[in-house]
Amino acid sequence: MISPVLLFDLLLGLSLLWLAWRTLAAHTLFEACVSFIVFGLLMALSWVRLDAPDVALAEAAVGAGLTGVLLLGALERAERARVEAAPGPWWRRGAGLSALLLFLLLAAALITLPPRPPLPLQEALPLAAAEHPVTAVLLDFRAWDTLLESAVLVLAVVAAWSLERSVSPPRPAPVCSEVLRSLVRLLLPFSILSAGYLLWRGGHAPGGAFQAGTVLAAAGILLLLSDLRRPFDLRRGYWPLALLSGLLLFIAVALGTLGYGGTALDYPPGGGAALVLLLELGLTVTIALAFIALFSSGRSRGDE
Amino acid sequence: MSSALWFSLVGAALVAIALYGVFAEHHPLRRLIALNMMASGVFLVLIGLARQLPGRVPDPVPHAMVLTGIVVAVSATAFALALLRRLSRVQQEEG
Repeated sequence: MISPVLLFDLLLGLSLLWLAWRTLAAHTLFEACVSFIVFGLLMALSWVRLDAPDVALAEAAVGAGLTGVLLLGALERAERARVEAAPGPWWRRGAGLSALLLFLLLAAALITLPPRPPLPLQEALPLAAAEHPVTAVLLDFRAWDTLLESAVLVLAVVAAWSLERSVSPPRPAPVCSEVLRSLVRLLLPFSILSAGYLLWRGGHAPGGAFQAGTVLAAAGILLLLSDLRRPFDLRRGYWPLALLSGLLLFIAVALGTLGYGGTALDYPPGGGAALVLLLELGLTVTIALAFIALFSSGRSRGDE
Repeated sequence: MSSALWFSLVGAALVAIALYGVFAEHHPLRRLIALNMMASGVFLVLIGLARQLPGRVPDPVPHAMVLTGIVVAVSATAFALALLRRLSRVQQEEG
């Protein structure tokens, strides 16, 4: 007799696989995008089942939300794009065979994996600058990774901007319904409030800069979609500085700790928690603005 | 079978399905979706492995890696979409 929980997991996994197949086999691009968004939502549910609430929060906002918005925004142009000829049947068979081989190899590796000993990390956790293990890893033990990640974000924005035809203000939002406008009016304060809460919470519980940044980005994108506010250009004024703030703060803290203790990003005793909160604040602003910039770069007027 | 192992296997299957998609699809946007799906599969394998530790607490290192991975994946997707827009614009100008 299998337990109801395991049955739920089995069904969830099977629906993921089915949706993956539906996404690839969809007749129209629109169908593929929508299936992929639903796929992202089920992924978020799987993260909860695997005790990864941090990842679940980020996936629900980014994987299902932002990626879906970006894909749907690209749809109109992509449908008109000229595509190369469809691959022949032998190519498809070869691809299927290699995919099957890959799955068998991966499955064999996963099943025969020897059990791992408890992590040495558990002993180091009480010394970390943050109580929550995931935040401790992100902003203390592996802070370098997070520094470089904010650099990747900024780089993606610069690359997207440089591919645009000309510097042009974002296209004004299409006339939207009064329903969306009142919804945005209602949701915006709550989004900002929950972003702040998620940021504050990150020190001791699931949450943090990643989740706060994406919630803030979602609020900004909704604001752009409803024409409540005149579209703003993130390439002008002080916006680029705000976009860079996370990266610049990170570099400043790295240099400061290098001068203070001799090791970059090795926080001084007692000051770790405050520095981590400062870094997370900058990271939140960078993540939110980078996502808004990537979204609005897709709808700029230079594209027409 | 534990549910952690089950989700890892689902992740492995997702990677394989998406690999087929990347090879067999011919529309660039569909390939991009398949690539994103492959990333999800890899994340699922990682988090499944994190859950297979002895004791109640999952390993936080893969969680942090996946969080970083999600953000990097969406940046890469947005960049690829910008490249696609540029490509279709060039095609349009060529006529």
